[in-house]
Amino acid sequence: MKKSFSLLAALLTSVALVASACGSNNNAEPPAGTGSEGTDKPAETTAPSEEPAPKEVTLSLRHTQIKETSKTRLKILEDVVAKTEQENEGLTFKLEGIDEIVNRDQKLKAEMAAGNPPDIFEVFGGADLKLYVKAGRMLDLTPIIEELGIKDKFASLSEFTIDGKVYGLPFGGYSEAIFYNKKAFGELGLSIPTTWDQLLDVAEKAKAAGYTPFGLAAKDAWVNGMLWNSVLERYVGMDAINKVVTGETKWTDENFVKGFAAYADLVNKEYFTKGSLGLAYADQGAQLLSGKAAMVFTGSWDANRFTSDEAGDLKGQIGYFAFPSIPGGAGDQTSINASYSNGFGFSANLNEDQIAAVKTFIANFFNEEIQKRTLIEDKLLPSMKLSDLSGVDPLISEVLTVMASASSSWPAFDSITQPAVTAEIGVGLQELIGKVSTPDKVAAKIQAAQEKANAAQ
Amino acid sequence: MSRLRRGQWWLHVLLIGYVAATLFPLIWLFMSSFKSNREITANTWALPTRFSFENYAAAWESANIGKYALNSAYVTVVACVLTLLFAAMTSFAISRMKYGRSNKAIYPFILLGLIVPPGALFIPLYRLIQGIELFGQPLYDTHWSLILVYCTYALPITVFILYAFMLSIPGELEEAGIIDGLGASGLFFRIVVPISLPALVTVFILNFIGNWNEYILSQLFITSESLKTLPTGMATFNDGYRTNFASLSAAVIISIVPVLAVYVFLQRQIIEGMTAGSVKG
Amino acid sequence: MNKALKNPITYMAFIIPTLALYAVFFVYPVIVSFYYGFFQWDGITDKVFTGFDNFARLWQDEVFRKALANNFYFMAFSLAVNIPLVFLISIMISKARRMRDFYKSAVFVPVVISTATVAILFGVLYNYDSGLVNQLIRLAAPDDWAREWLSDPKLAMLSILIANAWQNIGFFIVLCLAAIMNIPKEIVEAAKIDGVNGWQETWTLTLPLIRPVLFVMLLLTVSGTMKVLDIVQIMTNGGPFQSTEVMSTYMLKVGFRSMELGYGSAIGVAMFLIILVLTGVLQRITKREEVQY
Repeated sequence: MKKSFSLLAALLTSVALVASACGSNNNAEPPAGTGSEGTDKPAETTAPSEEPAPKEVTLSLRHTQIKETSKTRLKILEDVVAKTEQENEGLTFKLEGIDEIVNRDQKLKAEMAAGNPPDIFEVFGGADLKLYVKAGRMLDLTPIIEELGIKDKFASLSEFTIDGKVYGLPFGGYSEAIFYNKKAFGELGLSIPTTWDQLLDVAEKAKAAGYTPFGLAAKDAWVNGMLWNSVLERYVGMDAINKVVTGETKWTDENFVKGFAAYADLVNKEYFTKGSLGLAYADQGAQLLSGKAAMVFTGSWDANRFTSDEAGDLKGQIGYFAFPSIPGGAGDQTSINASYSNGFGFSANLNEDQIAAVKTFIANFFNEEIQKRTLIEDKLLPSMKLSDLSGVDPLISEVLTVMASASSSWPAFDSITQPAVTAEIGVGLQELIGKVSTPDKVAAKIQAAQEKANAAQ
Repeated sequence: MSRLRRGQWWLHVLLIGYVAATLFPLIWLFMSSFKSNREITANTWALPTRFSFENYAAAWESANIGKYALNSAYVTVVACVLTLLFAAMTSFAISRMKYGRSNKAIYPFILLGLIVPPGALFIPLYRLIQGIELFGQPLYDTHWSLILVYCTYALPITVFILYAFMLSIPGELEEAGIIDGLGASGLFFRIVVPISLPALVTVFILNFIGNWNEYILSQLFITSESLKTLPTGMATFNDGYRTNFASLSAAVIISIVPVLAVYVFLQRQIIEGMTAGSVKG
Repeated sequence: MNKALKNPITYMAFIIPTLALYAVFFVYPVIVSFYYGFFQWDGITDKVFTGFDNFARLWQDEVFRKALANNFYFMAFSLAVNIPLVFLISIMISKARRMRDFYKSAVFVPVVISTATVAILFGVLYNYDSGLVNQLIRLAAPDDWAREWLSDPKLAMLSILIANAWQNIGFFIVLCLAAIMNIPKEIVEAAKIDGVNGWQETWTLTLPLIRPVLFVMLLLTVSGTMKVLDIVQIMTNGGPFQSTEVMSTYMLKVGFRSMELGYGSAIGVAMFLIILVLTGVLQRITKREEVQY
């Protein structure tokens, strides 16, 4: 008896599944959080019936601050959300934190294709954003930031601006140059290099003293791209890099090849960590903090780690200096890489009430107070201009000073080159690090990929 | 007896050597779970200087492991039980029941599941889960979305292994059951399932581990904080920019203890099951 | 006699749940993914139908060829090293009269660890400076025998294979051991009376009797190594300079990072067909051999 019942149940379950699966594709019902108003929680404010009930508005917010190291950033976001909810009766945010890579590669992409992204989400400026805008999924924020009067307060909106319209707002920025071990520099009597030759000299002396001149973890291609990008800019200048996508310049042009050759020179002089191609990024910072490496070229996001307890007896002994100039190069010799590409985007599906709520969210999140708090607590570089910089950690101060004294700033190469070319550059640099190819050959291979990508546009 | 034992010393030497090599990385992980990050970087292979449980406390608190582990346990166990039930029924039907033509079609069809690379399916699968309903309720952001998908993706390998075992069950046992008046489902529950217990336990454990550690689908299907599973907690300590090895090793130790407990418990069950069977026979 | 096993209602009830789940969550996404393979598509904006263009491109794609070769290396290593090792250790454990349960549990422990953790563990072991592997080498041999395990293109694949073997062998041993222990005692006793002993028993008795499980192991190895993803992705992500690229990692890079979902799907289809042919061949070979016995 019992047995036949369980059989029947199993059968029914499966039939129900198939039936609902067939039906659902036609419905194409939007999932929870696509802006359906107040379906989930009855707001806490329903009690007094005399007042006209406030309109219930729900906003879903997707973030990727799920790691232990991003707890501070999440707390700041949650505070802004709570404040915004308080100011708008009937407004509920639904926060959702998921893995950054899963979101970027699969989840957000699938939702963008289906046309049902979350109401508010983290998005990268550059190639990703371009696609989403092309598909008509992004809310044009230009009127909102003009109304709030914050359009000119941002350090740079260029990575979120397409055809003059702003589709996202960066919540922080980063800049890349060289972090160094002050203690080691002091012991060896080294001073901060300002030219390429001085840098090589410092590296040579550090190497002779048993240090790894440049700590490197080269498993992930983007890591190698950082130092090389600065070398390249010094040799060719930003204008030339911008023009590779139109075919006006070529990776095989003389100055470009010089950039690859200078990078290969560092490799051949054994200035990088041995076995670096097998090391994950986290190892690079560890090399500096354990005192093995004298310098690392990386982004300001690591400042948080370099000032933490992990630094041990090197706490307070890590400094920062600008990438030196290369005499004779065609680039801007005192410029610096700085990017404002991590930001929030908003869905084009929002209704009027939701847009009104989004406006207050933007006002509460993108202001000096929150930017300052993020800078102090999370050591994230502000994306907006700040008038008061007191109370900032000394290393962050150094980073900000280096940025302020730069003659110009430019975005990383991968926000310019097509994804397929970026991938080829990653492979090429690894080949140089592994000494299996030459600057000429690497440049030729990248140029071939570039021509293919340009033709497909 | 003593002659035999003496003859086995080399066997044990080899096995213990193999086991030592196998366990070494884990013993190191266990030791690391008592060290600070600084100690791990500076004296990677040294023994911990003191046995402090700070890492365990940190892992438990900041990764929300308690709640996540309960969710994982629920999803994992339900999915495994469903998989075993469905896969065992199907394997029995296609290995023992007399529907030759249909059996010959179904078996290879299910085996196709072993061949498809799962990475290609993430996007279609996610869009499907977003649109699907079960008994009028959206499936997205529920534990059932994970349970049903985990179950489906465990079916091919489970059917494959169970089918092989069930094929090798001698026909005499069945005949005896039929003489006792059992029907097909009676044969399945009373005779085939008990005999297949070792194989069932093996695939149960295999699926248990797979589900317990699964990360990407769980990130795709679950959005509510209160429904997330254990690997989300693990990932907390490894953000690519900075690995908190001390907390991570403690979290890994916490996460493998339940699985090992299940394994050891079930292994004992197999042995008892087998001895019980042999006494009867 | 046959009636009990020819009950259509039970039969349907036994197979429908499996087939229903399979149809919804597996077959449907597979068909969709195959369909994408015929388009040029970034995953978001409008698809452009290009017929077999993606497949023609695949034919000439050197990276894909390299990836395929790596998958074959992976498969060959697993067949030649892992499987014999599994069989050997299983036999040894089955012959041990003491501590059998301990061995059985101990060999299984690595299986329960997630691949992400395995990758991190081996990353530490393989480190050039501080890794234990090189430290042991430096103790026992000249210093320059130390190697850059994961960053030397000649060694990186091997290093991954060893980590993979470490993680996976345990499960196969348990599977194999279950089959060995399942061999009826009567058969062994009878053989002993006939004067069969020791290794003779292993070759003439055990091996043939556990054929079904050996086949399971072979097929899982072939399909598993051809679609391997996690361990490669986390340990080297195909690097250095694509020397450890396998089909799955390449598929994901092309499909998601380079935003060519159509081409990525085509790689998926190609993988499917390649594995289909390989498993078909495997089935043929094992069937033919069975006739000889």
